[in-house]
Amino acid sequence: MAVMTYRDALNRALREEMARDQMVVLMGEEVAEYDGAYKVSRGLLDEYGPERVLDTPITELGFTGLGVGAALGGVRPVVEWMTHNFALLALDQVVNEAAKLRHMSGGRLSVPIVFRGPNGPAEYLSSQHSQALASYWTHVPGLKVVSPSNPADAYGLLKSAIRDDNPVVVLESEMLYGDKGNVPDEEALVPLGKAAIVRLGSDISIISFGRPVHYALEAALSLEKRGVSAEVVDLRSLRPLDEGTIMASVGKTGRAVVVDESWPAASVGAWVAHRVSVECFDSLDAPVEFVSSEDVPMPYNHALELAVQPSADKIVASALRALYLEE
Amino acid sequence: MAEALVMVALSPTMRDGVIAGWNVQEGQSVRAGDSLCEVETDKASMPYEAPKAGTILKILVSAGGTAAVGQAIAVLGKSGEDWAAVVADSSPSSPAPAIEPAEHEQTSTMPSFPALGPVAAPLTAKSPPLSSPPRSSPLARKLARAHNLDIRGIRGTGTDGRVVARDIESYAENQTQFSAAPVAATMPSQHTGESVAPGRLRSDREPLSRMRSIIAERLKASYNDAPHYFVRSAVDVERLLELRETVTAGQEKRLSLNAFIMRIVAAALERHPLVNARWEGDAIRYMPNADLALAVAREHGLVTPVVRACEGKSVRQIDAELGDLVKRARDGTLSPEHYSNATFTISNLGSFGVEEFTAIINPPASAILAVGAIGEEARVIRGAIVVRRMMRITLSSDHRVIDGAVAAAFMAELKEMLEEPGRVLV
Amino acid sequence: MNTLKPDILWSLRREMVRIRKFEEKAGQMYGLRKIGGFCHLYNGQEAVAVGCIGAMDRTIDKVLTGYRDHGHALAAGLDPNSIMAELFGKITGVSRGKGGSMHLFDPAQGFLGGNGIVGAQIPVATGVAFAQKYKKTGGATAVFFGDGAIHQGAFHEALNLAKIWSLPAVFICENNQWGMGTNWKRVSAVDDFSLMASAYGVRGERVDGMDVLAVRDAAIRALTDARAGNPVLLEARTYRYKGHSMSDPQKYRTRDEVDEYRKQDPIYLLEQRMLAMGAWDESKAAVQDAEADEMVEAAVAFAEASPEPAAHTIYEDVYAGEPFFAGGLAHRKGALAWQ
Repeated sequence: MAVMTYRDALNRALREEMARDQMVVLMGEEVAEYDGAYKVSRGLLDEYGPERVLDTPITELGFTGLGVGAALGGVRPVVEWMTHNFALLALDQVVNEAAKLRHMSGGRLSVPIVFRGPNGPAEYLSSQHSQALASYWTHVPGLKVVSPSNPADAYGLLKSAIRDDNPVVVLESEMLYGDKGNVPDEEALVPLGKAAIVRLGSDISIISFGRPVHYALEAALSLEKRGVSAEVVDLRSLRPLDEGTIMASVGKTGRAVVVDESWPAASVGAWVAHRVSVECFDSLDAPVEFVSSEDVPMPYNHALELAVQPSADKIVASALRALYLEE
Repeated sequence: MAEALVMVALSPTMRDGVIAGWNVQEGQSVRAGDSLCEVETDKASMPYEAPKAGTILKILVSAGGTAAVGQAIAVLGKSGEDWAAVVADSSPSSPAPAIEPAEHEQTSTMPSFPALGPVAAPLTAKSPPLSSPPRSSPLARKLARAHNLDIRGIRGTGTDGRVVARDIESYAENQTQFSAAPVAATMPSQHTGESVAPGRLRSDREPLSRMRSIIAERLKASYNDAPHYFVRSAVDVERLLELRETVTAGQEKRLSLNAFIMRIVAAALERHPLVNARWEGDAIRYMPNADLALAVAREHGLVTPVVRACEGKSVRQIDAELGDLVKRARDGTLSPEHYSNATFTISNLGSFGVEEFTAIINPPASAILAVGAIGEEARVIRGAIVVRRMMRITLSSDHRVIDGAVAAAFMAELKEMLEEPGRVLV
Repeated sequence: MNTLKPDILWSLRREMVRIRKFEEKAGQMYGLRKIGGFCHLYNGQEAVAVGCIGAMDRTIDKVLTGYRDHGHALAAGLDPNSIMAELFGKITGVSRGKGGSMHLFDPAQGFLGGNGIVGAQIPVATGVAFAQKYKKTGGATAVFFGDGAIHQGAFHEALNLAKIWSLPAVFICENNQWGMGTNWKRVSAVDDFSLMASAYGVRGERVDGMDVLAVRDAAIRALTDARAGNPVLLEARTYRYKGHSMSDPQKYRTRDEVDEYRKQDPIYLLEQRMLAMGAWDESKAAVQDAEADEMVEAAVAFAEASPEPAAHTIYEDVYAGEPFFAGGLAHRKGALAWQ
């Protein structure tokens, strides 16, 4: 086991996969000479050269579409979006091309591509640079979507994503890039579509993904002090969604709090909550609780931006409500 | 600064408690941790301890009174402080279940048509009308089905009175605790040794204790749900009593007859497992151990402590456990694992001199054995009239589980074993 | 140009006639409701697809186009039966009944669609060219798009990328002069699209899109440049005879205008050229025409006779590997209930 940052875990995954498969290339804004806007691609230009590590112009639609075409042509591109906020410019290429080409061609085309970059709220960035867009991608059949919450998953999920023959969107988090954690020394892939129970408990299931998993764990500690045993499910993959693990957990605890840092309507969390309500109906002792960001664009002021987002306190309050222990 | 002492929830399901008695008087100084009063909850009698040192300035709810959780029952402070101001401050925090009946009354007098008048009050009434099923969680409904309970009779403690899992669990627990059934056992005074002044009937109305109302509900449900029938036997207990004398000769304390009966009943159950089974709605579940309950009378009701796995225990072991459980029952210190989930129950009213009686089954078990007093009788044995000590036993069975022939075979085997205890060995 | 061998001329005529007859039959089938949805016909523009694609090396080169794709698909060598079956929505269609008119594909022929979003195929094609360069296949990619698509950001972003990375791509704007119902001059800052190439340091060339030989010449030059790492923009000025799609009432242009262009019909122009060159043979032309008729009739018969896709196929071709669907089996059962 080595302790490394989330950023370095991603870097290691890229480095290993580029060494393993000559067809893997990395393209995006500032990925080469600048070493990446968030230094995820640090050193890769030196190691693999300008043919495989490509700085693009600031044209998200153009280079995302180019990546899709390269995948059609047999290359396995990793397209870095400086953030998912900017990927909205490339929405057409992901939704209408990457996700659809296999289907529209009756299975004749294959688009093995990874789109990755930071998603979700950062700090002091106001509305355009601080938003959680998981549902944009998770909505779309033909895509796979993963959201690692820790360095080991960031490493293992990115490697699996690169090897997958489908377009895979990786939701990283700017706020997690500096987080450290254990990553196995040997190669360790994390399969797409498998959630993880990151904390065992018996009274309530807290289900989340990405950065809010950390709030969920914090909430579980606080609940423990009140005698409540909370289980924390880290979805890791949003598409495919590991319903088996989710339902087994809620079936056991009878109560669920879903946490998603997106806006509430039409979100991944709302879908998970719906599925739990259906699949675990007879096991539920309370309505499924849902903690999301407030239904407003992100404000700049720090106190306000924190108030907008999910927090351990908000999760605790929801958990107590589901347990009929409201104060 | 004086503070109000409020009724606290002493169990997860407790909504109010009865002050069984005060251990302190107004003006008395107390230390932190002193027991101020006994509070009777839905489960047991619990001491209410002083949260800090001070003087009891005022007792607000006297012995026998009921206080909702959160309601002030006394005021603690320094001698000479004004207790009245404290009570005035704390009164808004009292919960308001008392207003529910008023809301219901109001509902009934509201106009029937929305156009004719305001309808807001009935819509916002917290408790639904009694006729409609209460709000309940899916899990609670599933648990209720599993326990064969009617959810309409269960009070909910969730949001807006929703019946939730813990309500079913605690209800089911209480059912097990208070269901053993001999009707006669509810006349406790002689047995518990307390005297009632002769010739004095009462004319007062006594509100139900929590235990009383649970017993009432449970026994009614059992008697309604399980089709009872009864099989009787007269048992010659000469050899059993001789055995008891023999094995306890020279010892300070005799083994109780109930311990012998339980050991022998366990042996009979091993040979007739259906009598040790329970009804589950869509299946009959055979229970792997003979967990035998013994009905024990208390002043305001009865409890049924359980000796587990009697089939694998000696009479002495059973007797020792029974002694401990009966003591706990009388002290009110039984916990749920001591009294729940018996597979068979024995109720012995022999000490009252009752010759024979019938008992109501204690769910989830399917049978209960009512044991009468032992008395000398004339019997004809091989053409000669002899005097023998006899005991009458009556088995109440749930016909959904146990057919008459099964009950008869069990009783025949039990009779033979009680008459010749050596049969247990072979 | 005059050095062209007669068999190449006859081959070009044959391809254009096949497309013309196929499109006329497709229009007819649309009228009979055998074909639904959007159906954009290529009549009038045949010289562009045939001239360009005919100049390509089908073993290594790739073709992408927009939604008016029947002509390019036929020129690229797709099986006409499978194309017609696709228009009919049958399981035997090139895309198993999932793509329809706008989404014809056959990677075995180097034909990568068939794209319904105006201009979206341009960056994709640029990426295909990237792969050709990365893998050193020696191939080039031709991407066709219309006078509407050229104003999309996708075109401009892609042209810039193709230039900075020296990709083997040929961008062919088929200016049929009507972006749906809008005349191209009303929405363009320039009246010569080939000029747009200069903004990106790319060579631009305008060619008469009604003259298949001119198109072919331009395409050969462009492909040569592209293979050398110099992308090219071609503007082929052409004209579509039919409406934008089958549901277009064409109120925006006069019958006379359409008739005027019919006089420059690409098939007619080629035949005149062949006549002048002494390469014309009436009976050979009649045989070509008859063969094209047979091809079209056979395609319709094949499409008619082909089975509908089974309901379970809706869960196929969505993912590589183990498929999965949000909501799981319960949803799948519901969707399959109709069959």
